[in-house]
Amino acid sequence: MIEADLSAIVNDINQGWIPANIYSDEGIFELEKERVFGNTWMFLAHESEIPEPGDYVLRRILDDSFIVVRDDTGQVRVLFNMCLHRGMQVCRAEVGNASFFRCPYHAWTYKNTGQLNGVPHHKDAYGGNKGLRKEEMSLLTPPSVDSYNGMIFANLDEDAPSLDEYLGGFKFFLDFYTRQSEAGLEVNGPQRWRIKANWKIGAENFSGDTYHTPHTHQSVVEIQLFREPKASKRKLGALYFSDIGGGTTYHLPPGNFDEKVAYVGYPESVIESMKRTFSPEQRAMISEAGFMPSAATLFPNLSFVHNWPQINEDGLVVPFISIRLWQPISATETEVYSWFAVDKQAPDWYKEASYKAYLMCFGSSGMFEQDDVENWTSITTVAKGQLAKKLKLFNRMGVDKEGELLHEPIKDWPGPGRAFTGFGEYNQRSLLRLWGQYMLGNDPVRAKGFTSTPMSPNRAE
Amino acid sequence: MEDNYIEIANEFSLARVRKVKTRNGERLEISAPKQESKILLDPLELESLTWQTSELFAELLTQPFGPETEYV
Ligand code: FES
Ligand SMILES: [Fe+2]
Repeated sequence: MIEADLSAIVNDINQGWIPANIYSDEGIFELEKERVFGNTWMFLAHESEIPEPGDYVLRRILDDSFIVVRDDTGQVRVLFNMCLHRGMQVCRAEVGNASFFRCPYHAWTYKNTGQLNGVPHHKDAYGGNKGLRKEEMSLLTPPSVDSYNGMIFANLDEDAPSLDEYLGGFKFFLDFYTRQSEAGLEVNGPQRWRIKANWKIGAENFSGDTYHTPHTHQSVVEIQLFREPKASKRKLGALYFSDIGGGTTYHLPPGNFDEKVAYVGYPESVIESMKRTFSPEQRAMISEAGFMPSAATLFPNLSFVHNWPQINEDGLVVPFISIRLWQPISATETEVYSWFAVDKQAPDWYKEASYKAYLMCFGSSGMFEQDDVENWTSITTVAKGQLAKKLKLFNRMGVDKEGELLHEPIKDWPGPGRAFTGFGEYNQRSLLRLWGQYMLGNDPVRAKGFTSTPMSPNRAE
Repeated sequence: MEDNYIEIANEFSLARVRKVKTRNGERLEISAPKQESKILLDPLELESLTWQTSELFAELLTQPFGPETEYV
């Protein structure tokens, strides 16, 4: 990838034109590995996946494998899963519970803090401490590790802005999915599967594509699994974006906070805890503005979905939350990680019903999921073509020819960032602009430039 | 003597545990089939295990395959 080509691509993207081959080009993907995934905060695991001392899960940031472990003192650690001796992968089981990890190659043995503990024939082979001081050796850790609402993130860049700075205004929205009570989430999964689609397509879709729901998911409405997504209704929702992420909402029928949250199927005890943990502004987004968060994406590849299908013939509506990671394998293949997430304090009947709602809609068996992926693999496949190199996709919904906004942002929006109602590709543009800035090596979180990047140099989107 | 043991395994190792009866009392047998090693613990030894910290095991595991005998 030549830098001149790259700046032309980014320039197109900033004007709302997407060169189609960014969804299939291996050169672009190589650069993404380094500049996007090497410099952003990557979600690894939720703390509820490793509740007990010794619990661990293996997670990747593209090609790097990490052990996310709760050590024997209860501290959560992220350890680079590569032996200090000859580089063997120390742990290979996806999940486990252990106080010690013994490398399969020559049996160097590590405590679950990462500290090297045992070396076979330490004396014969190394002259004991003269040649190898075990106390001084530990499995590597990523340069930056931090967590928010129990979600554990790592950043491979040692000069990265803090997680708090990175999440910025998006924290306001992240709370809806991850902090419905003081106890926070418990997650189940992940289900994992691979799709022949570029990772960016799912991320964009979840960030703001309310326009596809009535068409792509028509069958879901026809079988009465879902009562909402008639096109006329969908466009009443808000599209919000703040700093490093954005998402969609539905607009709810009139009512106070309790009534609106009950409308989507939350039981009373969860409504009560939401009232305690959400800020007045967060509550106002639901009660006064009337917007209930649905899907969202945190740049680059972490998405959330919150939805409320009908789960039985009696029309019982129950909401669910899913966390999903678009883990790139190549330019044209993505491993999807899909977790079911539910408030830890919710009643058992609700947890079960919510899990059913999730399985019916998302995850490997979900109906929405299957509809979506057919589109995404198709885009990726046709983007490989020769003529596709000439096509620039039209990513300008919501602005006119001159780049002027067709609708004003919502006035009195209670949250950070800006929000619109009506159909528009504001969020997809914002997400791709972030992508462009990382690809050019300009950290947008440091630059604080992302919310005001104009559509064209003299316009003010 | 009882045949049925329980197995404790993870990706790093495998151990078998069973209760062994002698004519005059019981012990817990822990064996590591891959290392061909085994130990019989009486109740007091077992009790003492409950007040050990992982430091003791760290000490034991400085030799990850057990005692290293010198060649003669
Ligand atoms: S590579 Fe791990 S002990 Fe040799
Ligand atoms: Fe969809």
